[in-house]
Amino acid sequence: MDLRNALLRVAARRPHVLIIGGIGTDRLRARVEHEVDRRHWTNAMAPADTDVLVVIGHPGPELRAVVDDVWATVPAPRARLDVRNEHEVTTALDDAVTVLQDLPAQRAGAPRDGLRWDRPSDPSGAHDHHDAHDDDTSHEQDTGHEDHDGGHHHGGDMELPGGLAMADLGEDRDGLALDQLHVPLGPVLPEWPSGLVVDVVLQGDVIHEARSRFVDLDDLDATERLPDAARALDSAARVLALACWEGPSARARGLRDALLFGGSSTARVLEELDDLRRRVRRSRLLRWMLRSGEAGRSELLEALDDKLLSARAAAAGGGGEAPVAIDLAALDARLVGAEFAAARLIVAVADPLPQPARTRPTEQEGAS
Amino acid sequence: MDELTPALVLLAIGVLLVAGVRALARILSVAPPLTNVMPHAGGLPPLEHPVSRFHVRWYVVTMVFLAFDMEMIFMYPWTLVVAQMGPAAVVEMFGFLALLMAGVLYAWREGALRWT
Amino acid sequence: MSVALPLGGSVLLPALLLAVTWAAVTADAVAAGRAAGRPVPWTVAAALPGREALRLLVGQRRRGVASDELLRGVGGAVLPIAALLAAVVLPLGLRPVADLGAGIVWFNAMEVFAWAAVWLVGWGANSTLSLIGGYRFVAQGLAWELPHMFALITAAVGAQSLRVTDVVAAQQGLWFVVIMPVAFVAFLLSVAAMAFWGPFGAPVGRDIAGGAAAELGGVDRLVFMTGRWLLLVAAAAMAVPLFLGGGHGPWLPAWAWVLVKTLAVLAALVALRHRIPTIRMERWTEFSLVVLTPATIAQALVVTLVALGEGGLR
Repeated sequence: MDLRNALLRVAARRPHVLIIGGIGTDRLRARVEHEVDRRHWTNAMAPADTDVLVVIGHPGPELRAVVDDVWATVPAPRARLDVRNEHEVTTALDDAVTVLQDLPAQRAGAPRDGLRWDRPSDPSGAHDHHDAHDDDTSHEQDTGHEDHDGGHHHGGDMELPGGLAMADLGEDRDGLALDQLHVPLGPVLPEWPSGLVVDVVLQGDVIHEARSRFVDLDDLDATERLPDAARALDSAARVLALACWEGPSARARGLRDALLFGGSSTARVLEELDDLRRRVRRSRLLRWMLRSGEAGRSELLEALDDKLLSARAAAAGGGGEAPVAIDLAALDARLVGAEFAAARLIVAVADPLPQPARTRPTEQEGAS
Repeated sequence: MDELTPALVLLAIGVLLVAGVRALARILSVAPPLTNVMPHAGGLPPLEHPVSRFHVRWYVVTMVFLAFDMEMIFMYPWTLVVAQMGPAAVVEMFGFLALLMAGVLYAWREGALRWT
Repeated sequence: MSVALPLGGSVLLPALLLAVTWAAVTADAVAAGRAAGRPVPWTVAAALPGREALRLLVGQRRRGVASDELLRGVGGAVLPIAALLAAVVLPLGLRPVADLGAGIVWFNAMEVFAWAAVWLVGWGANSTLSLIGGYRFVAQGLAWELPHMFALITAAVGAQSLRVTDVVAAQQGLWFVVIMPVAFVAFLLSVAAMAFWGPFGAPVGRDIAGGAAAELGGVDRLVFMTGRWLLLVAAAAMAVPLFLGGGHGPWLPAWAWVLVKTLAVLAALVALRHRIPTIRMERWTEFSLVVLTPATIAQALVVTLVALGEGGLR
C-alpha cells in the first residue's frame, strides 16, 4: 500500500489534462492551456488518456450531460474540476494533483462500469447503472440524459451489448451499398471548435453526410469572443496541430497567450508572428499535405496564411477585417465526401462562430 | 534449429515481460478495470457499434502491393545467387520489376492510387 | 559460420533496447520543447519516460462495450515482442544474439507483425476513431513496405548474403550508405513509418484523438506505446549494420560504435520529426509507389551491376 502511495505521488505530478468548455469559453480555455503548458503537463487527446478533467465556464444542460458521460469513461486515478473564471485556474490545477495523489479517495471514486446511459428497459445493465451513480455523487445525473436517449436505434427487437445497433447499409457516393456509421463528432475532440457537434454518416473514413450544430445555443447571449488577433492565432494553431506540426502549432498558441495575457511586447509578438508565417509559407511538405485539388492550389493553406496575416494586422493595431462567420450549412456541404483527416482540417479552418438558433432547423437530435 | 534457439529464448522473455508488466499493473493499479466503456467520438453516445465493414477505398493499392510482395519472395533468394548466375539473372529480375512498375504507373495514371 | 553471442545476450538485449528507448523518448521531449519555443529542462525530460510508465502502471484499464479484449490484448503484446524479435539479428558489436542465415528476411518478417498489431488494437476497441486509426496504418503500410523491402534487398545484394553479420563484414572498407544513399533514405523513412511515428503518426493522430490507441488506458496503453518506441529503436538500430558499417570504426570498440551510430540515427530522426508535419496516407501512397519505389529499384539495379562487375563488394 505504501509503495502504491509513493508511485501514485510520482505519477500524478505531471498529469494529462482534458479541457471541456461550451461556446464562448475560448479565453478561459486559453488560460488553462497556457497554465498546463507552463507546468510541462500534457493536453490529453481522449478520455482514456486523461487524468484531470477541467470543465470550464458554465456548461448548459446538453454539455453538462456530455461532461458526465465523458467523466464516466475516464479511468482512475482521475480528478474533475470546475473552473469558472481565470483566477481559479492555478489553484484548481494545484488541487487536481492533490486529488490525484489521494489513494483512498481514488480507490473509492474509481468508475466501475461505463454504461451510464443504459436503457431502463435493459435488465442486465440496470444494476450497474445505479453503481455508476453511487460512485459519482457530485452532480445531478438525470438532467441531461433524456436528450440523448431519444435516438431511434435503441430498444429494437434484438438487444445488443450497450443497447447499440449494428451498422446498416447505405449507398455511397459511387452507388455502392456499404455499411454506414452514424457518429456525433464533438464537442470533446482535440483541436475542435468549442461547443460544436457534427453529426456525420461515415463510410469507412469518408464522410457521407454531415450536419453541424452547436450545443446549448440558448446561452448564446453569454458568449464572449476572443479578440480578433488571438482568435485567428488560436484557429491557426488548431490547423497546424491537426497537420501534426506540433512546434509551429505550439508557437502560434504561445503567441495567442502572449496577446491575451501579456508576457512579451507587441513588437516581439509581431516579429515572431512574421517568423511563423514565413515557416508556414515555406514548408513544401505542408503545402503538399494541405493541397486539396489537382491544381496544386491549396485553399486550406491559403486560409491558414490568411489567419496568420489577419492576426498580424489585428495585433499591429490595424484592426484588420472582422472574421467572416461561416455558415454551418456551408460547412456541412464542404464536409461531404471528405476523408476524415481532411474533414478535421476543414472544420478547423472554417472555425464557425455560434449562430442564433433560428437560422437553423431545430430538429437537431433526429439528424442522422 | 540451433540458430533459432536464442530467438526462441527471446520470444519467451518477451512474453514473460509483457505478462509480467500486466501482472504488476494488476497489483499496482488503483482500481480493477473499468468495463463497458462507450467508445469516444466526442462525448455524445454513438448510435451503432463501430465494428462495421469498413469501406477500404484503397483496395487497388493492396493488389499492387500483393504483386510486388510475391516478387519479393523471389528476390530474397535471388540476392544470394545473382553473382554466380551473372547478367542473365539481373536482366530477368529487373525485366520482371519493370513490368510490375509499368503496372503501377498504369494504375497511377488511372487514378487508382488516389482515393479521396 | 555462426558468430552469435552466448545465450545471455537474449537477456541483455531487452534491457539494452529499453535503455536506448528511454534516451530516445527523453531526446524527443527536449526537441519537442525546443520546437515549441518552450524549452523542457533536461531533468524533466529525463524523468518523463519513467513517470509516464508509472502513471500508466497505476492507472485503471478500460474495456469498451462489446470490445474484443482478446484481439486487443494480443495486438498490444505483439508490438513490443515483435520489436524484440526483430532486434535478435542486430549485431551488438560484431555479434548478434542470433546469427540467422536469412537474418534480413527475419527482420522484415518480425517488423511486419506491427501491421497486425496496430490493426488488431484499432479494430478490437469497438470505437470509430480507433477503427480509422487501425486502417490508416494498413494503408500506410502498403505504401512504405515496398521501398523498405527494396532497401533491405539492396543491402543484401551488396553483401551477396542475407546474413546480417556478412553485411557488416562487407562494409569493412566502405559503408553501404556511400554506394546506396537512396536505399538508406528509404530505409530511414520506413523506420519512422513502421513505428507509426513522427511524420507517419496518422494512425495515432491528433485528429482521431489518438486513433488506434484512443481507447487504451492503464497498462494496455503502456505496452502499446512502449512497443511502438521499441520498434522505432530496433529499426533505427538496424540501419547501422545495413548501411553504416555496423561495429566498424577506428579507436572505439565495436559495441561502442554500434551504440554511437544507433543514437546518431535516432537523433537524426527525432530532429527531423519536429521540423515537419504529418504526412497524409493518401498523399504518401502516391509518392511512395510512383517515386520512391522506382527509385529504390534503380538503386538496387545500380548496386547489382556494381556487385557483378566486382564479383561482390568485398
